[in-house]
Amino acid sequence: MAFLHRYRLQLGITALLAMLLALFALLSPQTFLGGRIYISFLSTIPFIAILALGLTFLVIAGELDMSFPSLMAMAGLLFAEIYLRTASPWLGFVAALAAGGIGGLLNGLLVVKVGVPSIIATIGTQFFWRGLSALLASGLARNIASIRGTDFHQLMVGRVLGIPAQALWFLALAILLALLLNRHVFGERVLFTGDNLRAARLNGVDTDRVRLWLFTMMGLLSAFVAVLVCLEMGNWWPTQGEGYLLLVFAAIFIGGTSVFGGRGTLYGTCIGAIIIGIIEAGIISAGFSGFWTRLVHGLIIVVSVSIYATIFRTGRS
Amino acid sequence: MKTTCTLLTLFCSLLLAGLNVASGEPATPLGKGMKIWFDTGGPVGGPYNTIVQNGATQAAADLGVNLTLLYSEWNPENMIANFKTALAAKPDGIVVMGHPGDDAFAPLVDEAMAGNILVTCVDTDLPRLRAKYASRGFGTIGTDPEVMGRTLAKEALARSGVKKGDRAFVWGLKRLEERGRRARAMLKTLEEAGLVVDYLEISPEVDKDTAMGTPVITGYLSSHADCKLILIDHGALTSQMENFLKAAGVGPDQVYVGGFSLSPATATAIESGYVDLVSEMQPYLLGYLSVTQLVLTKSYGFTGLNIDTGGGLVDKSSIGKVAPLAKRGIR
Repeated sequence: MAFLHRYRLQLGITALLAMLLALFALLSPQTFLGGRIYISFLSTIPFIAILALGLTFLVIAGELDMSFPSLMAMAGLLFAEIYLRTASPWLGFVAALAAGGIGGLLNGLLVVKVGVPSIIATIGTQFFWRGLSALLASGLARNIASIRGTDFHQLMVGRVLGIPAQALWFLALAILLALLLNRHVFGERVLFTGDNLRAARLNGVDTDRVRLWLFTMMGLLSAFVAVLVCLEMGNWWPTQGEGYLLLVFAAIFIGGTSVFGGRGTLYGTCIGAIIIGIIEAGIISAGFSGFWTRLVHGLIIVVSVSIYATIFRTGRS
Repeated sequence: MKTTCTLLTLFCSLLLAGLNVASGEPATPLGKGMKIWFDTGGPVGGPYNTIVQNGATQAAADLGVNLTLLYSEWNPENMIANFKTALAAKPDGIVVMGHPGDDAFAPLVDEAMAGNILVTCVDTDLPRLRAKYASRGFGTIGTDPEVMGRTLAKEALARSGVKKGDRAFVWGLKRLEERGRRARAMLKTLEEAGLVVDYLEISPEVDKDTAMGTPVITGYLSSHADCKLILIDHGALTSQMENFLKAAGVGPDQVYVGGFSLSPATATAIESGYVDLVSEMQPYLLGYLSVTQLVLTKSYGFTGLNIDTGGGLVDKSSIGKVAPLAKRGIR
């Protein structure tokens, strides 16, 4: 009983996912009882999920990052451009990660050292990185279809026993980050920072350092996902990343992470990302119009966050 | 149609060159000193409006025009706001996208014309304003989305060999009033041909990040394995059909696929047989011809041009010639 109570959030979100899958299987058995749709999900959901993992840390620490879609565009452009010029995907990968890390660190410095609230600072850098990538690319897409068939492509997004490699990358990152949050002192510091910044400082937690690391990590993960997306699609395009912003936040809040910081689960975020990732295909396979997609997204978000607010008595008083 | 446009462009260039030679003056650019404000319509770096911009920039360079570019994120309110900004700068001419419509633009265009600022529009027609101010250089360079949608659907019907009762899928943006006319025309044409047509609205997320379209196509094709024709009213999604179909376990030329707008990735998909037919509005011409027309009107009082740039169809037989231009942002 104590187990059920302790993990009620995780169990609840898992039950929601199971119900959705059962409903879709009932409405469209030819799609949801076959394997292909799940392989398809495994090729796209990891992008949302990896971004959501990084952002969950920031939200738990009481911060936000609105700039990751633009940082994705910048890192993706560097990767594609360097690959096209040098034929070395590894060089492009390192450059992309460097750009992501620097972009994330810049966000962190603006928030921690300059004192700009994270939502404002990252809205600013969102415009900056999007503008810079558009400027450097002259608004033109980059076709990197020739990268298919390289070892790097196989390693990052190839198929391992039929499973998209990006799903394995996601799994490895999820385990690593879950250990970091739940089994490492750094995770404790993140939770403490988000729960009460002043109290955390008084207890000797270097909250500035913690937040700098988290912003940098988010930048690195954004760059990593940008490279995966470029590889999967064989292409870089100027609006890359823009579509992920709301979906990533939705995945986090469906997963039960508190918008006020101090509480959250990576498991919930992962399940939230899966729910967000399967809804559209489920609705379409069932024969409903695509106009239903947003309505169902909205309904699930509102219902789940309302349930969490009731269970945990969150809210501002 | 492509031939007509090419000839027209050639004619404009020859006219400009010839007029200089005939007058015996040194060949100084005809638009030298002219200031033109140009609303590209979309966002900075948008794939379609960047090609429009490239055409306008090239025309400005060829004619010595001082060009100022504006971006409206495809938002009619932004287009109106940008027009007001342009008016305040008192340029020689303004090129607008016609999306806000005649009623929204009328008082502003009246004000511009009263102040001797030339105005012309591209992409979407402003028929009432064009009728009113054609003699003062107001024209339209673009095409009717409905004609474009109908043309692609008819060509796809003829080339794919689908017949009455077959299933087709259209993925479009009906929610956009003007742009949506293209998807509606495709649906109407396919339905009139007796096909069973499934329509899906492109979500805002997939609209921006095409990677998220993979499960949509896999899901649809899993539950509608008898689909023989797919038409996509979206350039970026057309370019990713190879990825989508591969993920859905569909090989090249198994389903006939038609779409809009060229890009390097679309060219690859055509070459590999995952996309069969692409219709393009030839957006470069929108930029190039509108700037050229304003220069001609300012210099010699020519009336507004009304040119249909649509109807360009690209398939496997022509992609070899067009692909390098797509890479350079010209096609």
